[in-house]
Amino acid sequence: MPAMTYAHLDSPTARLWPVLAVTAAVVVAGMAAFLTIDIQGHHVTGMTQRVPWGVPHVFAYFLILAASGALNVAMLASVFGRTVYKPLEPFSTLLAIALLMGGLTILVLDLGRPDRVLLTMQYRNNWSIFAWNTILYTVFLALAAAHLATLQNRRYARFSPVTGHSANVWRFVLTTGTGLDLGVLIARELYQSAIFAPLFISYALTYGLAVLLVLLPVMGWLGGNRPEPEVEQRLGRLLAIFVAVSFYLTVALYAFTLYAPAGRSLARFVWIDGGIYTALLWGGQIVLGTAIPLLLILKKQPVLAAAAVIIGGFATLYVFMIAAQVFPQSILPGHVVSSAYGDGMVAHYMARWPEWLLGFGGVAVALLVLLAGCLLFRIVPSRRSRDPRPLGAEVPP
Amino acid sequence: MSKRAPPLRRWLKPLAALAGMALVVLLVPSLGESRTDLDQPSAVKTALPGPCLLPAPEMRRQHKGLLYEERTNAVRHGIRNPETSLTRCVACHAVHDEAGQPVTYEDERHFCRSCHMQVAIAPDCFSCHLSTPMTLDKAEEKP
Amino acid sequence: MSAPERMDRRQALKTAFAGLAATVLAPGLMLVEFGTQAKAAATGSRWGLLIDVSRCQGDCAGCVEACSKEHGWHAEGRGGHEPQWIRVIKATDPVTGQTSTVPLMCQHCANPPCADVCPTTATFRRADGIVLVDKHLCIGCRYCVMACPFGVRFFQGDDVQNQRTNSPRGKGTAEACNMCVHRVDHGRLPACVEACAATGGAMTFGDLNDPDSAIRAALAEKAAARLRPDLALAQGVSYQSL
Repeated sequence: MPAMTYAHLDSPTARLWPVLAVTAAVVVAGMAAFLTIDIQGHHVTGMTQRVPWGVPHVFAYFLILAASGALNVAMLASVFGRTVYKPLEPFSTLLAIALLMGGLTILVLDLGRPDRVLLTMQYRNNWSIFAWNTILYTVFLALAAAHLATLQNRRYARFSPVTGHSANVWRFVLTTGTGLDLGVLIARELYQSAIFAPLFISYALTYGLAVLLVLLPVMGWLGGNRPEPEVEQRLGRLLAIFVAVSFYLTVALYAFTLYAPAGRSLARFVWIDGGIYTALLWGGQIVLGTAIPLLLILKKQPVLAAAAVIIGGFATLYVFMIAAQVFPQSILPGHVVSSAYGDGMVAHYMARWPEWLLGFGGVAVALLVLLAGCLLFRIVPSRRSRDPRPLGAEVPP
Repeated sequence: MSKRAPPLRRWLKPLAALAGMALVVLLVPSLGESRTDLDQPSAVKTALPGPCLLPAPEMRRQHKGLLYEERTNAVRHGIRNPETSLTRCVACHAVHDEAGQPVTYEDERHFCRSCHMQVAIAPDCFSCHLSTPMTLDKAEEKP
Repeated sequence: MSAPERMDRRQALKTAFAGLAATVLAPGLMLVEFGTQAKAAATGSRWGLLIDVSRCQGDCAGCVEACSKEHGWHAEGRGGHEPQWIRVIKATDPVTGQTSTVPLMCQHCANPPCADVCPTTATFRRADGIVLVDKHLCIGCRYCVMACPFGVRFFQGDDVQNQRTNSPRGKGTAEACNMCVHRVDHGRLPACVEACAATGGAMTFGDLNDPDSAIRAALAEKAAARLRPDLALAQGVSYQSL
């Protein structure tokens, strides 16, 4: 088998430029949405006093979870020694960086005062998970970039095990922090649970792998080299394991947390009579996000399965983040409460265009970083080797 | 091994680019108005009821630190000094329009705005703080 | 490099640092004299609010109007975009059918979840028990709004005009009832308590650490409870006749 080399993604197809143009246009649209929100205020969005976190946060959390999981393949190749995945290692690392940058873009631009974001550094509250996340994310970016450097440059290749192991450990710490964002909140019965840490780690592994799987044929279409079908099948089987574990932990969260009397009404709302939220839970998370991917992987269609997982993932996070907010808080348990403010009633949340555009803008930022990285550096495996020097490990015959 | 050009030849282009950039950075500002009057009063003069806390040149340099100290004391420690509060500054330095009404920060004649526009530093205070003196209706009684 | 040259450089550095230190410290020394006049935050106080729900008259809403006027916010209604620092909740016991009206505002917890999660320490608990937002540091992430178990924190999503001088509020920051700190710091009562005294007299404000205060006397008369005691928040606001 000829040696696998890496090439700049510059040989293809005229397909790349329209893709870049569209991606850039979506980024610009996202910026326009940000300016609208920043200048006019958040009242132009659907996020209200009852539902302070909305669609942008759903997008941001998905991208951040996927960023951590996108390193799966890189870690399999380096830390776990599965050399069959070596050709994908740089792409996987770059994808992690790109996804995290996209997610952070959304989070920062959604702030009420984004010009003050550096205050989290100057006036740190060390008890705040949010404040810890700022450090966890930046260090992750640095470690992933360092790992990429060791893969790209022969002089640093000896540091590859160090950066690889560090990035691997760090992504679990990071995802634990992301899970605890919600897991430490006592304000809602759904949130206060330690299970959010392993749950979000499981989600991260699932969504990250799914995003990578979906992008493999895309990179092939744009002129890179799509891996052997056998590699995709193996990744598909791995995805199936992650999907199953995610499902198990989700059921555990709902069953164990909401089994208690205090959580029963919320469980009932989400699973039975929550309208859109129930539809998203069953249709999005269970069917599209779990059952259909497992079926598709059995049918040897890992890329389609991954696409279904991604849609299911968005639905999952939407239910987690929004359903828990619209459900009334129990201020006086045992009493029936009502007020002009809407206490005791399910709140209404309808996302408006700035939120959707901000979310898609973040996705476009991630895609833009990914494509730019593939154009500037030798990331994508290619058999049309312009440079005879092999950079990655050779695929074993 | 290809012959490398002598050092000067190699560095000529980057050096030229750097020199060109430095020239632009140094010369373009001179196209604007010259600021020889930084120590001269540039704010709109108002009829103050009395002297300010500090002489004007020192106040110009130190008011940010004073405000910062005052806000930390007031907000975080509950130590309030009406003499050095922002409310007092705004009240004393109020500029009135033709109708006798104090102008807000939106107006170019506002005391803070007139100076800050010149030095091109936007203060963030008036997104939250009222930029005109306290009104006299009941809800605004002095504490 | 000869030895005398190195000595000169060290000397120069020392002078530079001394000069720098002097320049940095001097303004601070000047500021100290301005602070001495003020009344320091009462040390040892724990401000508390006691609400006797049985004295709260259902359709009164005097506290809501007073707070709204004092701080310049306007209630819109159905949990939309307007903050509602204090609101009145109608609570019905499903077993007995009894209804009470409960004014609900920031509970000023001793273990405030909002202050725990704030990344910039903008939301903080003062030494005297009042939980408030230092809007200079707030980045508008709304994590505190997510974290409050009572839904009494709000995010200002629009430009604010005609702010109250004593209650600066602005777009992009979080806010909540601050127990009228600008009044409390000058020895006055919060606006809601003042307004209630004229109608039902359901609210009592005072220093929980002062055994001779009115609030302590009222607490001794009738047992009071906090909302959601299971959360162990040790709120400064407690309710009687709930």
